[in-house]
Amino acid sequence: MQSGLLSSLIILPLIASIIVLLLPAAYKASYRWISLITQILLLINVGTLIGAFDPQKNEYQFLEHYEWIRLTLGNSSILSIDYIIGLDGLSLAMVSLSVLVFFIANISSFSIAKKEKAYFSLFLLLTATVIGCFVAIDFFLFFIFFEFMLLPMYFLIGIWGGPNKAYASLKFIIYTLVGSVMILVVMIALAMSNVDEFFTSEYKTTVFSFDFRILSDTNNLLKGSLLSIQNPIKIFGVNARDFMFLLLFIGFGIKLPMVPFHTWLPDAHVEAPTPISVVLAGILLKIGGYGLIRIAYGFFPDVATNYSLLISIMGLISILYGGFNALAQKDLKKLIAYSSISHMGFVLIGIAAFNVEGFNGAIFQMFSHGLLSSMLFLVAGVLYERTHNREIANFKGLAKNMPLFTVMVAIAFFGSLGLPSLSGFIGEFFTLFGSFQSSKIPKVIPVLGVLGIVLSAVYLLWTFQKMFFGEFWTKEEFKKSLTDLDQKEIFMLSTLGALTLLFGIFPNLLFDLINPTVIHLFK
Amino acid sequence: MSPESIVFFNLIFYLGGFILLLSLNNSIFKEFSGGISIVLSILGIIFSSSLELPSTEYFYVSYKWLHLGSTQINFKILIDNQTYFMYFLVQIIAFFVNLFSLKYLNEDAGKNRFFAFLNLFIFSMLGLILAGNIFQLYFFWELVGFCSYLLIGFWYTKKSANSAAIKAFLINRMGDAFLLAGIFLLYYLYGTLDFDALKTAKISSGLGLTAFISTHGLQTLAILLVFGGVTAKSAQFPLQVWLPDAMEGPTPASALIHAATMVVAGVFLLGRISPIITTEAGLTIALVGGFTSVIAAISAIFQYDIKKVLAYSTISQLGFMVTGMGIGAVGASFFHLSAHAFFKAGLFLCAGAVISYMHHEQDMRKMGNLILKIPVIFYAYLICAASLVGLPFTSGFLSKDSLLNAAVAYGLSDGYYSLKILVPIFMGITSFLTSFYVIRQVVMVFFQRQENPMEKIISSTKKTVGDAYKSFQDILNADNESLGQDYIINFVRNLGVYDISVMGLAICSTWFLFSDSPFSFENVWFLKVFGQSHEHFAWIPWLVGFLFILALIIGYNTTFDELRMYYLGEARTGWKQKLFKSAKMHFYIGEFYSSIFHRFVANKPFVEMENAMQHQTDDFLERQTGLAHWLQKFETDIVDLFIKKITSVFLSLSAYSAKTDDKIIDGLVLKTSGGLKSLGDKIRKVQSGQIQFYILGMLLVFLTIVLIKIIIY
Repeated sequence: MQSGLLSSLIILPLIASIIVLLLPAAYKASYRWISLITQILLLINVGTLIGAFDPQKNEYQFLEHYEWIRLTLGNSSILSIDYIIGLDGLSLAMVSLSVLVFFIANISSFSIAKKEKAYFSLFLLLTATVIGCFVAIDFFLFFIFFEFMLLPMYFLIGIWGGPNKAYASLKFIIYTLVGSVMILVVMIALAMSNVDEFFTSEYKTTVFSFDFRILSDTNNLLKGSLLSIQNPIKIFGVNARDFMFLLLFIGFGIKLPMVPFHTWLPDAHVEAPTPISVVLAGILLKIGGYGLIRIAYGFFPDVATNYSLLISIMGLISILYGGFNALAQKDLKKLIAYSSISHMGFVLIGIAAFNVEGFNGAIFQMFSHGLLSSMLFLVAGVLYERTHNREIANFKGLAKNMPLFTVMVAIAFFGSLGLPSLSGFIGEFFTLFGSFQSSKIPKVIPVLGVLGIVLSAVYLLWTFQKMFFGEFWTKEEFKKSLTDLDQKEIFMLSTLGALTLLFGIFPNLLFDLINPTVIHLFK
Repeated sequence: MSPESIVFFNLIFYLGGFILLLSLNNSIFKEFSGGISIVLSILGIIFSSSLELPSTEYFYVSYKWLHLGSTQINFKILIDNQTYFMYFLVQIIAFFVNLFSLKYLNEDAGKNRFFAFLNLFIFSMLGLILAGNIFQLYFFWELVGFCSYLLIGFWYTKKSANSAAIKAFLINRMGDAFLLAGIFLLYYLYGTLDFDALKTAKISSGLGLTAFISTHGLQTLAILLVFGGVTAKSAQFPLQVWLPDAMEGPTPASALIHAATMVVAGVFLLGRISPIITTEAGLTIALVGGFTSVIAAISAIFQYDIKKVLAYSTISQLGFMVTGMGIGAVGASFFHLSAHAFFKAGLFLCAGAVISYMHHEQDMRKMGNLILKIPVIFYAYLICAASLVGLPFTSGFLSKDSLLNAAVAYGLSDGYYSLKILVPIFMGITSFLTSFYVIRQVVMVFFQRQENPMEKIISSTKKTVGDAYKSFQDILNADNESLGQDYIINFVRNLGVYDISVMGLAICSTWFLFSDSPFSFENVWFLKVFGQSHEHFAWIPWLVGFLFILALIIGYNTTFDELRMYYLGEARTGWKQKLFKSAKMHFYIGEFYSSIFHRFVANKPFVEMENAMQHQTDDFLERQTGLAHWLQKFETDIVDLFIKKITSVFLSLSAYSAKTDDKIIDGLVLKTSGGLKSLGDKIRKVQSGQIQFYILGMLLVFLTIVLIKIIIY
């Protein structure tokens, strides 16, 4: 059944983007509303999808499959590139998170007061590409969305960013392009090694495919091809499959971001406007984790287990390094950026565990970090919007003047530091739990990972105490502008806060959705 | 009604109370917050009184919660004897504390917040007690810690309160890290986290780690890791340092959370896992508990702050309970836990009343002579203190006796003999020290200076008895009923909220709540339920009594000596001063931690930041030491360097290539090198410049594609 409901998630924002682009500047005020209505439509559509989704089915659902490119190669074989989109538990979780975060970011974008046309049109384009990335089941399609995401992102940081925006956006693009190149290499190698049996017999010639369902099955590997398991070919003295896996690991690791490929993140965050920071931390980082699970682990399961130790160590380093760096920050937004690095380290550890608990934990951690980091960046945005300053040292005792704001910050901070009953705890617990139960990782790594939980408590509580407790004090020029939250901010923060609480108390709401998919991945 | 629905509604009451009270952030409704909280508390007790002691060994209901592959963690409500008595204990003490707070926080602007947090705490604590597996327990374990954080830092504008709150939370986090590791290991070993399943669980076979450490060693390690969490929550060595500081919170909160209920959560957890505690782990736990109780009692002797004395006393008594759990005397330990909960809450509330009477003066040396001014408080204090010391007719006598009995029996048992004997010795020393600091506190706070206090006691007693007799006679002799009623009303009116709540707790600290005989713990229903050892050493109460008299004589004299020195302005010198100071600072354990932390991990950020703010300097990052700052430098100077170089090369390359946008790009380069220039309306041109980088990038990508194609074919 090709209902088109899933395609609408990509097409709707694209159409809206074009509408915004074509509308004359006289209708300037309507751009944000067009964009918001689109996001609400997306929310409704995703709600319908969740309702119709059957988690027990072990295959992609809402599949839409159209032939796209049939490229005849030199040796009369055919390269088949299709438009295939579909959902399983993992991608549904990520798509739900995306539409939610984009919805919140859209509300937050209402305060953009410069070049609205370009902004909202790029913002909608970003929405389409991100969702496309999560629903694509064809590697080529995935890669197009993955690459295309950079374009709006680059301009969104480069034009609406802070004082150092040119440097930050360039850094972002260089890093991500390097990662993309690595993924591209693997994509081509994969496609050139996997054969679509069905079409091969139909066309009477070898048909190479980018279809995820074919790529994830090692039985489809062409004998004697670059990535064949039986007779390994060496690249720079390393088995081709190992080499490709490592390329993917670094490629997605940059996106995640993983230490030492993380330095684009703090800069990009500091310079990006609030809604873009929200999107960046809330969703874009998750594509790294998604790619690792779906592509790196999904297509190279035989190799992946050999690298569990490496990956878990990288995760541990990210947790501790990010945590310690966060401890030394003076700028609130930078602190949050480093805490993101630290929290995404848990995702790596969970993935490295290579068991059901670890994978579930990693996906949950991504989801929860999406909610919490969005909240954290909105919090930083609240201060920045009022004072154009984010220096932690400049604020003291805000609790007295901004009680509601304090409550929201408390939820975000305590959620991030892993207080049970808020979603952060579940993700951290199960990633570490999974890796402790895993036979592939030495026990010392999850035990040291627990230190990350202590560290996050240190830097977040220190900041909380410094900025919100004590007698009210701030620079004279800020005093007047520091008013409590307005309706818009209350709505955004309380929505996210309520969801954090909901998933913290009833994590099974998400686990029930993703667990069958994860179990299926291990078959 | 089924037990689970009773429990469910009960929890909903308190959670609803929290939400309701927090939302009553309005000057009119605020006034009712205390009343609402008390009503909720009474309703809770009435409601839970329909809960029956389970007829079978335990009762549980479980709901599907977290099912991940083969790991299944359910939301499980477990009710057994241990749950049952804690369930009431928490609520009864919470009731008295609520009552007391009514007056104590009457003037406070944020009192609805206080009562809200109190309700959240009761909710979390009940959740912890009902938890059927260790994951669920951890869930609420952190929540009670969170409530404690909120209540210690209740007066959030006070700097010391904030520091104490953060210290409490972070040290508990350290402990939680151990506990988490312990949970992981327990699951790894036993394949389950349910308490009832752990009792009978077999070690799963084929464990990987056994090459380095035996399975038995792993079991011990798991217990000790869990015990690491206990040391933080129940304030045992070496993580006990947060509890004295936690006294910065409002006194009623200290009474409920940091004396009676939350801090015993660790002991409770040990009780839950007691079936799987190994001999070695038990010995370690007992020794740590005993050692803690001694050093805390020593520190208690040298405090001047009325609440700090009680705080160290709490640590010391918690040491007793932990020891009890270590030696396997689960019943005795729980008995002491509940006895302690009542008398320590009573002592704290008395201290609160004293502080309130003294207009927020907490230094005991400035008090004195309160015996006549607040007599009801004094008598309540005396009863609770007697219970703490372990004098006859109190619950403390029975519980301490049973605990010491078990300890002596343990000390004389076989295996690790020379270490085991330390356990009863530690407890004996602590008993003496306990009497000592209690006497010191009574003398300092209540007795008149420079006069014979015995006379005072006698005259006060005479006066009170006389008054009571007179009023009793008045009532009897009353001509008509209305006069008698008036008198009773007047008497009750004069009693006040403080008096009622402390008297209530003092009454609960006497023997009859627990046993029908004041002298023998054999008849305590508690121990009948939990089971006890059969050895009985009759000399123990005599020894305790002897130690008390000894402490009375020494303590009485030294306290007056101390006070004399204080009034004359004399100071101790030489080694004595050093020794006293070190004991008062609890042997600098906390200072040691903070210096280690600030030297090796991160500097005190606030001190530095505040200095920077005041002196308008921006270079404080350079002056910092510690791992965090070192890594930060590493990040900016080394990790980031390469990409920084590339980026600036890109930026300057395009500056030359894009002739038309010469100035703007130059501006960009300048910007990255620190020179800030406004771009203003030229932003459009910048874009066109940047599109070129993008095309360049895409070109790179394209070239690589071609390259790879060549490689592959």
